[in-house]
This record gives sequence, structure tokens and C-alpha cells, in this order.
Amino acid sequence: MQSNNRIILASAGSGKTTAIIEDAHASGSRCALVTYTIDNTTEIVEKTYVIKGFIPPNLTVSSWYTFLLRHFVRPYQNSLYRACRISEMAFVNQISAKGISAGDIGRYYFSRPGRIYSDKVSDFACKVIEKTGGLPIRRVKQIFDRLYVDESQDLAGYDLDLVELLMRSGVTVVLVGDPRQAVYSTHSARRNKQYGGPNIVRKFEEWRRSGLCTLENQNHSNRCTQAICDFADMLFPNLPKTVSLNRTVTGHDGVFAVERGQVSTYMQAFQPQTLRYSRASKDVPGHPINFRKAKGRTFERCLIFPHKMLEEFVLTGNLADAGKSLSSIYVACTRARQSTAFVIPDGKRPATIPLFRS
Amino acid sequence: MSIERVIVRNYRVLRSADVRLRHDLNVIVGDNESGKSTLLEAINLALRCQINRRPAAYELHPFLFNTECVAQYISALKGKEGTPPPEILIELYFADCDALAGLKGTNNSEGENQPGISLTIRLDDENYKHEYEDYIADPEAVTSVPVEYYEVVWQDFSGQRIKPRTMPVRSSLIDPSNISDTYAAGRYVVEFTREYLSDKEQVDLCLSYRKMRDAFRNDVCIARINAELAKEKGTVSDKALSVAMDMTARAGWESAVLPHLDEIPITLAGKGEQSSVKIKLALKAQKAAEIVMVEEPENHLSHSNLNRLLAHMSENASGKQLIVATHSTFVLNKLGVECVLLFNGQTGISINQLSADTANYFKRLPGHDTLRMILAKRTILVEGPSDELIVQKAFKAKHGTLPLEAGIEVISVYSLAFKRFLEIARALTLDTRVVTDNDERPDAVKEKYKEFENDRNIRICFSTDKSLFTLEAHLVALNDLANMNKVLGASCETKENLLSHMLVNKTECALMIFESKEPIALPQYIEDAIQ
Repeated sequence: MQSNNRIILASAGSGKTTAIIEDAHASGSRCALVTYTIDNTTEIVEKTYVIKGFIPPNLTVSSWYTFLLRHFVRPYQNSLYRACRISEMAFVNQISAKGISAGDIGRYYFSRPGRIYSDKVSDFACKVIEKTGGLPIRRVKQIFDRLYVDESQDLAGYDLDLVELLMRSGVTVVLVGDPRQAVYSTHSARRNKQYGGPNIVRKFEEWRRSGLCTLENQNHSNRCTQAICDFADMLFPNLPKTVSLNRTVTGHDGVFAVERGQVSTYMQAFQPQTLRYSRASKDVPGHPINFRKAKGRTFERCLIFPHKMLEEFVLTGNLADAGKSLSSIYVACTRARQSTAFVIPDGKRPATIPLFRS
Repeated sequence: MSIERVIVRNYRVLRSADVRLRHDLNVIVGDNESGKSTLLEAINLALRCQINRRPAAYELHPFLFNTECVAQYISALKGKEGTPPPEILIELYFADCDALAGLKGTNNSEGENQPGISLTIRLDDENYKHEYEDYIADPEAVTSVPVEYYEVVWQDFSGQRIKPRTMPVRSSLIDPSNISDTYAAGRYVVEFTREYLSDKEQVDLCLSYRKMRDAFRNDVCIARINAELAKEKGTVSDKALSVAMDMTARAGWESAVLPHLDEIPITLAGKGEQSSVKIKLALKAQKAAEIVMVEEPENHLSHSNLNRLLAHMSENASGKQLIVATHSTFVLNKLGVECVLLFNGQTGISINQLSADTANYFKRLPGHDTLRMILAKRTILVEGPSDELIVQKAFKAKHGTLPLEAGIEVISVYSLAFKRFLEIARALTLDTRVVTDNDERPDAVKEKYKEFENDRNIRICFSTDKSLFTLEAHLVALNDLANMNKVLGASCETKENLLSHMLVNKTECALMIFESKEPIALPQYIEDAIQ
């Protein structure tokens, strides 16, 4: 059977979100647009207003968690959990309730009555589906014809099982994502660990091979200039190269290194958005945004205050020096349309990229 | 979209009710105190989360709670028993359809996988745990439900909280009797008018109204008055005083516009006219209410107007679910006996088992005695006026009151119609006795009513004595000739003569027996009927 499910792997700045909105609107069918973080949800809503001027009535935008709670967890929660309404989530960064057996539903899934651990939401959802013989899936089919998942590289653990169930259900599932930007794995669950981070592509491949979906690559960037694309592609040498469609020339385009002493001059000259790895980076001017938080955003120019490993990488051009946070670095590098600059210590000279001189 | 089932717990007079509704027309009948109106009110509350047209949370008061349930709670507290605080629950179960799938789930008291809405009024124990603890610390001081610590939880069966704007089911409740003052009546009609208008028309109306207000401000006279007032600056206030039309949000067109009928403000039209306009508007409204509830449409209407309104309702209700509470047999028969829902405060019993034939029989005979029967505690069906009088007499002799005073109806039905009535009695499990002559063939009578043999609520009373074919024959056989002559003011010489006299003058004789103070022996089957 020919499947309508699609997975689209797209580079940063390819206009995925815009494409989703257009596609969903044009389909005329009842669509759920789901994305991983609340920031991304806001982004989709704002973009929709920019593109359409309004939210078309056939679109429902929500975050992945809201979607799960609303359609998979709560409607049939009493098949597993009757204590009280599951009203909220306890956000956790690691595996919750360690050492508690999965049979102890009240403690394994909940931090307190009605408060479900964020890493267990999709697990719980899958259990409800199993227990009720698929009622949540049937219900969702009555409500939506299509499900778009933006930033689908962030799906992990039981999320993947759930998406697979949906793909098999007859709801048309469209996953859009960039494995290079797998900065959040929704949780550090043990389930489907082999597909964590950029390895999620392996799962996508498996689905394609079993005929569940088609898989396409979109390797163009509307946003970044070619030099920025090339630099960012160095982080993932095994993935297809990105082609820039940005032909704008401003006189300061591409990737640069800026000596610490030149930062204020550079700031004055170009008013870049400053980016930092985390709050630990001190003395960052402007209104800095953390790398991971910047995902999905677009700026004219960025000035990046690297952490130690990124600084090493900028200086040597050696991927081995870049450490493990490749996805975060990739996100940071690909925010700017025209120029991405890295702050380096005074007196150092980078091996591959030009130095900014005032 | 329609409501399939309503469950109500502890709301006003409804301690525990569970009613199934038809998807099209429902005519709810029941005793005065059975809670018909309360049932409509409860449905409306769950659909809108409003009490008296205001958000329910602001309108909570202890009397919303079922008194029996509150009494139990208080006595449990006084008896030092642990008891949960009273809770009101109203659940509406809708027929499953894609449009309502968002409301679907099993978060309801029955655990059914259905679209639905539940409204709970319960202790907010997250925020008022300690206050509540203090409240019940001294049980002797507890006299009612502490509604100050209560919350209204309005959610669908999927567990999602409902916002009024996202509520996919539209409804109207039309309650003509509830409109006491003309102001409220006017507002009420405006609300319906507003729902009748399209969005565009509403915006236009709103704009015109605003222009009119602006024109007022710019009027020469008003400008002069304001200039005068401005001179008073400093005397009443440091700021400039002026008059203008109220431009605040609450002063929308709704507060200044009143519907007119033939140029007469609707509030000055007759109440009957007002309510029929409201009902018609609700049925035709643009933002069509899928569910329309009407409380006693017969109020304030003349017979012929009611007839027209009912015809209109039947014609325009297609695709909507109509729930009508009524006291009128006329309304009941006109809208269709098959739609009746006998509500006894706990459950609605419907006549859906009624054969089409019988349903038609009652539909053709408006003003028939169906409602009398449905509302009675017990009905005794008899063959004609003479039997009716004798049964009345027998009842009074035995119980000291007339049947009606005891809530028992004695209805004369021509014998052919007995079975029609019995069909209703069976469908609604109405306590019913039939008093019939055996016409010399008791076996035939037994055979005729064989199908009702196993209905415990139905009892066929007749004589098994073949030789005594009518009630009169029994009376003659059981009583002394002289005594009967005295009662009937007759002078018959033989019992045969007496019987012929009685058969010729059935009703007159029955009336004399009824009015006589002499004791008269009555046949056993009559005694059976009045026990």
C-alpha cells in the first residue's frame, strides 16, 4: 500500500516551518501542527500570522507535550490511573523515578498525584493505547486527518513508538526535521536509545524501508550564505552538503573570527545578535541567547561567544576538537543570514576562517 | 449533535437522575415537583456553565445542593462520621460524531467512551484544605454547604477544561415563565435576536450604533451644553465636566436596542406573543442552536396560538434536538406521544416501544386523557360513565376519599381503546387497573388481555361468573331487592325487572347509587380494582 506519510530532512534555514504551514493550509484537511518546545510553538503561531495574517481554522498548533496530554493521556487516563485528573507535567532532565518498578503506576509515572513526569508522557500514552485497544488513536482519527511534527529530530524514546502507531493508523503523518539540530532529546530514556540524537535518521530509514513513509532530503538554505553553510556542514561530514539560496551581498558576508579586544567595535559596526553556549559564558554584551534556545530563530548577523571546545574548533578547523555538542554548535552557526562571527582570544589566528579587522 | 443521556447528582431536587433522550424531540412530563424544570436547568448549566445567565462560579449558593444530601452530610458530621463534602455532578453524554470527537474520552462517572461534558461543583481542596478543616472542626456549627470554598469544574470527557468560546455545542433554553419584569424580558429577547443575526449583521449594527453615539456628541445642542458645563471647571472637579453617550464596553447596542413587533416594543407585547417569538427565533437563529430546550410552551398562550406555535416547532425543529417540558396534554399529544419522557425525578421512561398504530391513535386525539394517566399514581380504566361512578363510590366507601384526592384517576374508555392505554401503561410502567364486564365470556376477556398477564403494573379486573355479564347484573345479584328499590327510587317487583330498569337507565342509576348514603354490596372485582 502506498503510504502518504512523509519524512522531510531539511537543513537549517530551508524554510521548513513555512513549508509546513503552507502545506497544511493548502491541504484543507484538519491538521495538527505539533512541535517540540513551547518556543517553537510560539514561532509557528507567529509565522502563521506573518504568512497568512490569521490562523486558518483547519490548523491546530500545539506543543508535543500538550498534544500528548490532550489526546493520548487524559481522554482514557482512567484505564491506567484513576487517582485524579492528570493536570500538569513535572519537567525532568534525566530519567525520572529511578529504581521504582513500572508496575507502580502512581510513583513510576507521577511526581505527585496528577503530575506526570515529562520523560514518561509518551510512555504512558503508549500504555493507554495498549490497554484500551487503541482508543486514543481512533479518537485522534476522528479529529485530525494530518499530523505535522516539526523539529521531529527531537523525538525520542516512546515518542517514536507513538509516531509509528500513528503512521500505521491512517492519519497522514508528516515529520519535518534536521538531524543536525537534535539538541533536545525529549528525554534521556533508555527506550530506543540507539536512535538518540542525530542517529534518529536510522529510525527514519527503517520506517522508509518497511514502506511506512517516504524520506526526502532538502539540502538548501534560504537563510545562510554559502560560506556559513559550508562551515556548518563541517560538523556533519557524513550528511549531504547544503546549498545556499541566499544571494544577498552586504559587504560583510560569511564566517569571521573577532578578537576579544575588537568585540565592542564589531558590535557597533554590525549590531549582531550575541549567542552563548550557556549562562556560564561571562561578559557577553547585548541580549545574549543560549545556543539551544536560539533554535528556529533567524538573525541578520550573529556574534558567537564560544565555549572552550568550540573555540578550539574555530581555531584549528579540526572536527575532533569540537567536542560532543555538535548539534548546539550547528544551531548557533546557522542562525545568521549574512555573517556568523566567533570571538577568539586576542592574538590568536584561526587556521581556516578570516579574522575581522577594523 | 444531540444529547443521548443526562446524569445529575445532588443538583437541587434531583438527588440522582439518569435520563436517556431521543435525538430529535423529547416531551418531558412529570408531576409538579418531579424536577422537570430542574432537569432542563441542569442541562443548561452543563452546556453553558451559567446560572441565571451569569458565570456559575459567581452564583454558587448552598441551595443548589440537594437538601436530602446536605442533611445527610450534616448529620454524618454531627455523628462524627467521616463524610466527603457534598458534590454536584451533571454529565451530558452526546451521540458520537466527528464534530464532537474532541470531547470524547472516558472521564465520566460511567466510564463510557463517548463525547460529553461534565460539570462538577465541589470543594476546592487544593486551595481551601485548611479553611474547610476549620469549617468542620465544630460539627454543631455546620448548617450548610460551605460554597465559599467550592469550585466549578467544567470539562469534557477527554479531561480538557472547557472555555465558553470553544464549546462546540450551541443551545438555547427558552423559559417563558421565568420572565418577570419587562427589562429582563427585553434583554432576553435581545440575546436571541443577537444569535439570530450573522456576524456581519452584528458588526454593522454595532457600527451604526457607534456612529449614532458620535453624532450625539457632535450635535450643536450638546456641544453648547458641554461648553456651559466646561465653565464649571473647578467647582465640582478640577477636571472638565461634559456629557456624552456611554462609550464603555458594557454600553453596546444590546443595552440600547430593543426588538419591536409592529413598531411596539416587544416588552409591551403580550407575554404569549413574546414567548412564541422567542421560541421561533431560537429555532431559526443563525448560529443555530443544535439543542433547544423549551419550558412549558403552553404558558400565556391561547389555545389557537399554542396550536400554531406547536405546528411551527414541529416544522422547524428538523436536525435539532428539542427538549420540551410540559403540563399540557394538548402539547403532549400534538408533538407526539411517542416522544414522551415520563420523568419521575430519577429516570425518564419513554414510550419508544409504542406501536406506530397506537402512537397515531393518540396523535389524532389531542386533549385525550393520556396526560391524566401518565401523571396519576394509579389509573383505573373503566368502560363508561356508569362504571366510573360505581368505582368512585366503591373507592369512597372503602377509603373515605374520592380517588382523585388520592392521586388516582378513573378514566372512562370505550372498551376498544383499553389496549391502547395499556400499551402506554406498559411502556411507562404505570400502575393501571382495568375494570371490564365479562359479557358472559370471562375466558374471552382473559384471552383478550393475555399479553398483559405478566405486567406487574397492570391488573385486569373482571367477574368470572358467566351468568353475571355486567356490573348491573352483579349489583342486582348481590343486593336485596327492597334496598335497591330504595336507593334507585324504583318499585320493581322482581330482580329481573330491576336489572332491565338499570340497564335502560345506566347512568341515572349509577348516579343515584353514587349519591346514596345506603350501604351497597359491590362485586369482588370492583373491590380488587380499588385496593
